[in-house]
Amino acid sequence: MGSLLILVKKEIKETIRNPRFIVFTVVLPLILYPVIGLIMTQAFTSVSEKTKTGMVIVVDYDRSNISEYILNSLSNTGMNVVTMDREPELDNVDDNVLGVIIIPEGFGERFLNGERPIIRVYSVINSVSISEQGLMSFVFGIVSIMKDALKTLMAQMGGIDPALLANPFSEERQIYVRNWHRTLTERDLNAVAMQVMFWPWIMFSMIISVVQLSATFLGEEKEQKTLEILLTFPVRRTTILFSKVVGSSILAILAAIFYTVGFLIYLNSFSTMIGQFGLTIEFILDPISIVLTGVIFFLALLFSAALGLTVSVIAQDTRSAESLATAVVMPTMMLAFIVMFMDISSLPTLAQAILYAFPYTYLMEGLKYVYIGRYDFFLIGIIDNLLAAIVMLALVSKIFTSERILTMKIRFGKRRGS
Amino acid sequence: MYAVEVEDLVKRYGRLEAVKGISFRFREGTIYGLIGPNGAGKSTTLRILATLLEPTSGEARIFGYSVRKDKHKIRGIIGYLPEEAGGYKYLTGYEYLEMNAKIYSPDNYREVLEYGAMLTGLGDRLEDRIGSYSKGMIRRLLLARALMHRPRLAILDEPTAGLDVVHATQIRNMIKDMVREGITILLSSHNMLEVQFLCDELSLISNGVIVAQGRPDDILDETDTDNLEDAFMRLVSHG
Repeated sequence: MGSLLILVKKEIKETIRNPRFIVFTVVLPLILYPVIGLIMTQAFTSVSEKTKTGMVIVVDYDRSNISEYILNSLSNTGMNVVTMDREPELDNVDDNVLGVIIIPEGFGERFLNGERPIIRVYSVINSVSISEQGLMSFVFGIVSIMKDALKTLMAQMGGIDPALLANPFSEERQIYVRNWHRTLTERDLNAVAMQVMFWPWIMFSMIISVVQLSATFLGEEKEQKTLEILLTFPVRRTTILFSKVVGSSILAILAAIFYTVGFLIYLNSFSTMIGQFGLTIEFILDPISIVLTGVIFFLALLFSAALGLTVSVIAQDTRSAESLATAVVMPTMMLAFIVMFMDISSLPTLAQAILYAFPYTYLMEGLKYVYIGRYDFFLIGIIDNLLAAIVMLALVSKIFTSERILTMKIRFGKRRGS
Repeated sequence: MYAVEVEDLVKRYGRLEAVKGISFRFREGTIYGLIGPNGAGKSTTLRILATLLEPTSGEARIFGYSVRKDKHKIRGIIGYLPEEAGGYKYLTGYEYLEMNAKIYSPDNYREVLEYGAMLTGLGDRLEDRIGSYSKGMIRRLLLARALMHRPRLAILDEPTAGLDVVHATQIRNMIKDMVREGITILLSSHNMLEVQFLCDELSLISNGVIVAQGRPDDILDETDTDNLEDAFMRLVSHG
């Protein structure tokens, strides 16, 4: 029993002092997941708030008893419904407008004739994100309330075709995306949303690969004890530094190519699926935006390589470097969740400023803007990424040209007597 | 001309003073030894001379170049072998030497490369990856790397540390051959008998301070001992 206890204590000490344990067993569950939960709660609370404060515009061209009955039924639900005589320009509607429902002329007459009339429903969302799609569901849910109201009326009237009773009217659903200035069908939006929402995760996996790779570049030098010899080469320290930045960037670009190919295969299979369901995506990627995205991509890679090298300078070996790199990149995972779940433009100004100061935000949000050619977004992104890359390269360069590269040390689970 | 001049050299790491104002100098074409136990400050001194660390105070010059101001020039004329050093495990020994030859001697790298390959004595094993080498093979490879471009000064930190008698003897002979070719050698060792065999002059260092310096025979005479180990113990116990 005594020997077993000694060996168990050894196992536990070895495991607890392993940096991977700290990162994946402590940092992830205790910090990351609660923060992600907070982001999701915030996203859905924001949707809930918007449904309370937002309004739905109803344009009643019909002005029949039937349409008035529907409108009254909506008002009775406590929803903020505003009636208008004319269809508003979706480009110009207020920010709190969540949707526009258009009841065409002759709606009531067709209904009374036993035909199934058609209404048009526009959901107005700020951007493509899960929370905004929640608003979309809310607006389309209003249509169900209208149908239920009509069903009640039909039940009172009696003698109605059961098929019509089951579905009293049809609707044409469309979604207007404010920051794209475009109107999409529901199916097209869902198709594009799939691409847009997966994009942050592809970027995240690439970022973490580059940072870890760069961290390993120097961590291996330390572990293999080749660093001191390298630093006495008759070449400038900055040359050594840039050989590592360029080396890791080249490998990162190769990795990015593999990622992209994999993603394209994935999208292709998705397109095949779209084709089978008769969907059409009318978006055409803007070529200038793609080039600008490429520039951001390159600068973000440089930033990541420099970040990885900075991490590796203070880590003692490859294992510490990888774990530290993972811990440093974790906030990016939260960013991916934010981009996926929330509409950043609807956040408070301070939150937006913090998020847009973070260089990876432009990389993760990029796909949303590639579709619409918002060059200002990309230009700000280029400036932000350039500044971040310069600052990070200057920092790592300063460390690299001093003796700190040999004397700075961080070790997880410092052992007694070490 | 003095190959190395060290004056009142001090190095502190935070509150720890590793080197406490040491001074020594020696001429070109000799083997000079820094001798002392582990933690005496030998490696710190050599790392300052190899331009890896900054002195806290004092000055050190190599062939007249200051370690503070002329780092790049010094790196071009030295060959450095750290105490704990390895090679790139996925490169072959030959590729490793080739990289070094191209950096130090871009104009005649082939000649330098062939010389380096000869110095290693590893033969066909140079075609294998360094990851498959024994400790002795790696040490020979790294020593050859430090000497292949015929530096004016070779700084060798514990060149035979951890090697068996056969490999240690091979390396000592290699060092002696290099001096005959005109290379000046500065080495550190805690193996005092090895130093007695190799060095023309030496400094005995303990706890960051030089306790004696001069020719090995002179130190033995002064301390009335037969070997440097006894001399060192006598000096330290009296100090």
